[in-house]
Amino acid sequence: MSGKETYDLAILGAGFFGSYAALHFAKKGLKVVLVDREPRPWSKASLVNQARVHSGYHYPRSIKTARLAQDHREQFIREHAYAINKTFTAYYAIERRNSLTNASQFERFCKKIDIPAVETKRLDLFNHDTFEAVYETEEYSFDPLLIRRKYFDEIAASSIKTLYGWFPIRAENEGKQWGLTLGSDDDNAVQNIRVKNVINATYANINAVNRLFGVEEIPVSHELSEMVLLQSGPLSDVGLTIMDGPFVSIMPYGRSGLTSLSSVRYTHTAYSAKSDPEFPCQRKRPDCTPELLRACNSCRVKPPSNARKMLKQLNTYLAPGLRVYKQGSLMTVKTKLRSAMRDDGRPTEVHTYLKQPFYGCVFSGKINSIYEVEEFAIND
Amino acid sequence: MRIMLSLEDLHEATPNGVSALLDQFLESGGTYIHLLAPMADEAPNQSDALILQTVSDWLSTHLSSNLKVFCTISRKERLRDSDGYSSSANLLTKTELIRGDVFDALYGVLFGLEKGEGEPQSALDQTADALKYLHASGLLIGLRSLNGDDALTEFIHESRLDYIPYIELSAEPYTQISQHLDLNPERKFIFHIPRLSMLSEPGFENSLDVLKNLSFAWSYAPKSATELEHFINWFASMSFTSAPPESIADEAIISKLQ
Repeated sequence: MSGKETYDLAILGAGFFGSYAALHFAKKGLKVVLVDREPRPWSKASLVNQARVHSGYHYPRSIKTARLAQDHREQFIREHAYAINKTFTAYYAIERRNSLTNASQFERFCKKIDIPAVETKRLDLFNHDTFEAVYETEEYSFDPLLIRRKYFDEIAASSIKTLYGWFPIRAENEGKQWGLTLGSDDDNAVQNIRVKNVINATYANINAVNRLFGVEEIPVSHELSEMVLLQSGPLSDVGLTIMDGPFVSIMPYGRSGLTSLSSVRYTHTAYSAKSDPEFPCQRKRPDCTPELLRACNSCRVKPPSNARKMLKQLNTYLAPGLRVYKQGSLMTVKTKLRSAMRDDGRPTEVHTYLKQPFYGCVFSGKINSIYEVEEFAIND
Repeated sequence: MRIMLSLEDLHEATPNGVSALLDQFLESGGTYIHLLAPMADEAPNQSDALILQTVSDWLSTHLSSNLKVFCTISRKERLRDSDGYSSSANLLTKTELIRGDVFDALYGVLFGLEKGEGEPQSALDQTADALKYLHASGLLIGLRSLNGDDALTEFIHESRLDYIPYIELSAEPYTQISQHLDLNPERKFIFHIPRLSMLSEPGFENSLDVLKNLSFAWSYAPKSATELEHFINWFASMSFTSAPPESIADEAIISKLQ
């Protein structure tokens, strides 16, 4: 392809945040182009997560993150009602031996940020010997696939131009606009576009894109993560999050009828402390580089599953005889701010680097933070 | 017209046996395989899980193979829609899980679309919606087990779903395929051969010329390497002796099939 089409706004990354930003600014009348490296976007971290609509319970060591989780929560639930599962009971349990928090601290924390937690027992579901206490809480899950479906429909019906399977290879500051060169795997095609504003919503590749635009990197690390999906009659309407350490959590995976399982100890099969995600498996796949990560879930050379270890760990917390069945697993790279290592916090970064031509980036692991992209002062 | 290696019903197969069948199939020029997602019931069928794992391992060690995988995904037994469950979410999630097992080789999904007793219409609407979405995202959609349900067939017609029927051939193929052709005369089918002895039955041989022109693929689940070889040889011996029919509603064609 050739030519220099001009847009008001280019959004790099068509996951949850990028798609929301594209729809938001298109509704304001901007001419938007949405670019994603994958021909089938929304196949990385936007898909592979525990689909938790955070109420704050998850962050007893970061009051700031816990309070931020409540921002926009009601708006998110209201606007995505078609994908919200409210019908299950969410339990939080305090591990008896190795937890970084204890029952009284957890109760004080919940009181402080004003979220309900009622101590309870479920001998039919859980092995209470392993817990100091179990609390019934109020937490929901969302369905990533139903949201993806809805957003893609809205994007298709909008004026947004989509360039899926394309990625930025060069950015030139032309004063009032950016000259962007995009590449594609398809016959090594290249096209040039001009844009007044750029939002980087590429998540794991946030630093590679920042470098293209000549701005500073964000200190992050990366984990190659697996989420197992289970089926179990007794647990189909149950969430269990075990606090606070190398434990497990299960959540209904949106409205799919399946349950997601994550393990702090075994979910992460590889770790990269570099600015860009670099893992040994990429050596077997030349088109998946640290600067241009491909989707792990459909990759033939992804690392072996840790599902057995995760299931074994889960079973230690379940009532004897309760059976769970693995249905499969999903894999992706999860990227975290390095500061999160200290307090397990997940702040959302919405940062404007340049005002004209505009360049900003959004980085977040919490879904109800999508509304924060509205803060960008985009020039039309 | 293609040949399809079905890995259904291989309950006695070992991982080595399944891998050997895949190697033999690929060496013979085959491309399409079909397997079952081991998730129809709460307790998955262990042999289906083993076959899926074996195919996954095989694909991981044959990085440049162009094997194309069709997978049958059953809907969850609980066919209701509520605030906590959606048929659409269930199918979309299961498809992503299968993609996690067979990677970029996933080419099509087959769904058993049987209307359950007391199942609300909204569940079917959601199912059709999910299938249309999957088709739009690049997967071929197959349907099986319609069981001659006219209301269900009509529903599929109204949903404008573009699909390939998966038919296990019996002695009366016309009965099996007519409802699909009524909806779309251009329809192509996956014809599954239940047993090799059928290939030499007069009724089947009489229908063959017409069936050939209606086929997207011919499927068989061999119990051994010898059976697979027999099936491949039969497929190779088939030739197009007649031009494709102008319209399958043609009375002469229908009479051949009856």
